[in-house]
Amino acid sequence: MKYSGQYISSNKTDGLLKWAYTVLLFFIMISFFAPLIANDKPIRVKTSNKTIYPILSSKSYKSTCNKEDCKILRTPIPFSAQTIDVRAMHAAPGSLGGEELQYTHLLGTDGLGRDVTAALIYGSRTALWISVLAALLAFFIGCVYGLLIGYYGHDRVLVTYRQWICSIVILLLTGYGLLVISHLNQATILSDTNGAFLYMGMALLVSSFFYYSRNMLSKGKAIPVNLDGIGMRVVDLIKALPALFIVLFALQLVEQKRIYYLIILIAFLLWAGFARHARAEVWRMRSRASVQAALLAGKNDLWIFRHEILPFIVRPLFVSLAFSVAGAILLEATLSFLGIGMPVDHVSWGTLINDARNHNSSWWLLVFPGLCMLSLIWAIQHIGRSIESRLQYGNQLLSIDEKRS
Amino acid sequence: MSSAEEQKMWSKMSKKNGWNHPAFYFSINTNGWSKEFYQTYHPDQLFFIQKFALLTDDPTETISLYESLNQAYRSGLNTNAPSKYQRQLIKYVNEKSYKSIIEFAQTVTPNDLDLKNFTNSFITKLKDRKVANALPQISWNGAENRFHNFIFSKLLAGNLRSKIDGKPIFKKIWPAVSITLFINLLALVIVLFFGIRLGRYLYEHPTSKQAKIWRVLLYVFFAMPLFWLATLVLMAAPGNFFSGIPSLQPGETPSILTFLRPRNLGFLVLPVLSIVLNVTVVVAIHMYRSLRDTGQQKFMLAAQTRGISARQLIRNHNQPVAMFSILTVVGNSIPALISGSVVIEIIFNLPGIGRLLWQSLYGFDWTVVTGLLFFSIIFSVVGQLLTDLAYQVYHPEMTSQT
Repeated sequence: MKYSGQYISSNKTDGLLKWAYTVLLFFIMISFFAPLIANDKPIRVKTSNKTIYPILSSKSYKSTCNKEDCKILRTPIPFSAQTIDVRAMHAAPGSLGGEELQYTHLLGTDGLGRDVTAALIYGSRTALWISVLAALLAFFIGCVYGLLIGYYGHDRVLVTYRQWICSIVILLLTGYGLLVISHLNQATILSDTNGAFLYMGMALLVSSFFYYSRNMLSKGKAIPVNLDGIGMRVVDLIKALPALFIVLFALQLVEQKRIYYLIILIAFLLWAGFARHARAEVWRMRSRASVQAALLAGKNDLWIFRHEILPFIVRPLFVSLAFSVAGAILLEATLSFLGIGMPVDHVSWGTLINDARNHNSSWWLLVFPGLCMLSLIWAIQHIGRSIESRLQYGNQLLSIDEKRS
Repeated sequence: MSSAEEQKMWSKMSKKNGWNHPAFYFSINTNGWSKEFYQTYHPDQLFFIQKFALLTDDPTETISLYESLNQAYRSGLNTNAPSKYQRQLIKYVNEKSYKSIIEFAQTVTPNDLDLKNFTNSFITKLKDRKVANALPQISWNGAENRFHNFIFSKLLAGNLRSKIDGKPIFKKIWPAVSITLFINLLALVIVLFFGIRLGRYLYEHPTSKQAKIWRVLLYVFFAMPLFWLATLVLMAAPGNFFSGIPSLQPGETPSILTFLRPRNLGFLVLPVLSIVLNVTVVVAIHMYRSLRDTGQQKFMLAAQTRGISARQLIRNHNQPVAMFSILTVVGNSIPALISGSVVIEIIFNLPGIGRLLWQSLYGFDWTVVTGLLFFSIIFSVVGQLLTDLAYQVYHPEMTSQT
């Protein structure tokens, strides 16, 4: 046994890293070119007098192709994810299918006779793009939120009593005005009366009063607003609730399942993590001497953000983006597995596994989607980890340099 | 929209259930609104009444306007051959599309008497409306409101009942909580036992080939979705003893005592196994990482120069500090454990809180849902508290005020 603690882990070349990149690239390519890989329409049909490309059009190619000299070029997998093959339901991998039993189902079929290979290929689209969109949305919301509450903290926003009262009045007025507008709008009264504009006008009047009398309002004792404390309590609240409870609750409230509901929901579950991370990073930066110096030099907040804070915290935040893409893939698959995620007409790896639950003997419905999910999540997490360790190594070198100087 | 008999039935039912009151101690409404509307009208009717209240400044006018619409609607329903306009109105009312009703009243000139009555009264109201009608009016409702009733005659009196079977919610939730809690705690003990050892093993043998394979395997398991793992485990296990239907005594609600009987003990094996396989990896990885991070600190170097053996160094100096982050991970992962138990209980058909939540959400049983949310938050808070207490075991200086 050897004690190895004091050595800094160097960024050795990782043998598995290139595999991780390969797997990720493989799935990205597959999701891009899914219609060219798995499709029930042929790519090209060549007859003696003309050539057509049925993959590009919605018309049937069969009318042009009844002669014997017709050459058909098919995609590698001659099924799309929605093709229902009545002759091969719950068919094992390698069994024959198609109209004249002329094709093989490489990885078997599900309960409706849909090809698993095609479903996996189209499912990679769902898995990747939903999770990437959800993670990006969460990244944007969480980072803006975290940066704001981290930077303004518990003492940088000062509000006087007069400003408090004025802003509460404005909030109430605009709120009630919007409420009335929403009612009147349905009554189509908005077009010919000024009732709704009255409230907006009043709100405008009060806010212009607020603007022009800002010197008067800023007099008196100013109380610091604990933006950081309030903001972090909201994040804690979301983190304290079990994610699936929130999802089940929210999906029960909507009447119809849509993909963008799912994206928004996953983003809602993920943004709190980004907010916490971004806030911690800014909190670390804002006590630095360079930021204090910039504040003393009279630079405005935006300048300080741009030059003193953002360049130092962007990279660790992007690393956490990688991890949350993996988390979003997991979440989407779990929801689809429970039957509450994707709408019925969309393919997802989770729904395949759900199908396997009801048919114990079809192991191929369980194993192959699971392996796809496992490899994709592993690849993304591995890439994230390697970037993270490289960043940590860089930080350690930086801190050594700082100590020397 | 309902007939007089239906209205009578509704007001009887709402009086019985206490729905005939406003929602809170005070309400902000317009002049055309009265709190007595709650006592006679169904929420579907209140939807239209609320809109009509903006057109008038007197509650009686609002109601007369609504009644004219109701009459037109009912006359259309009662005739055998409704006219084109009547069918149109029925469609709009059923769709609850207020905008189309307004357009209908303004553009159409029907022959039917009831429809004519409605459109005429509507157009006169539209002409007479004033901006002042939309001014807010705060009215005090007193203790006769739904919130007050909920707090004092239901929550504090312990009279919360499930909508599905009428049982008190605590009688439904407690057995479920006992199952989930037992499974998760048992799994957690096993996870901590193996996870910490595995993490330490990886740290003690940084270069051995076996440890390298373990490390790769660990990250593969880390990427494995819980629901897939659980389904795999369920499919691989032999039937009867591990899965199926537990034997119950007549009239028994399944609780943890049911599953601790020798006949049913096997049903706990697979859920605990899949949680253990899923979470041990997380603990092991965190243990390994935090051992590695604390190993780089100066007190470790100092201890090493004093000539302490490597085994002693890791167990007595490194591990207590590294346990700090493990505690944080465990404390923070309690919501995730409850989330995971939803998946586990649905797959293994266990009557825990996850499955209860699933059932009560699909039965719109909001009382039970609220109770379950309350319980899960209590778990999170108690978990945090226990973590804070456990910090003091490893870091006694946390208690001092310096």
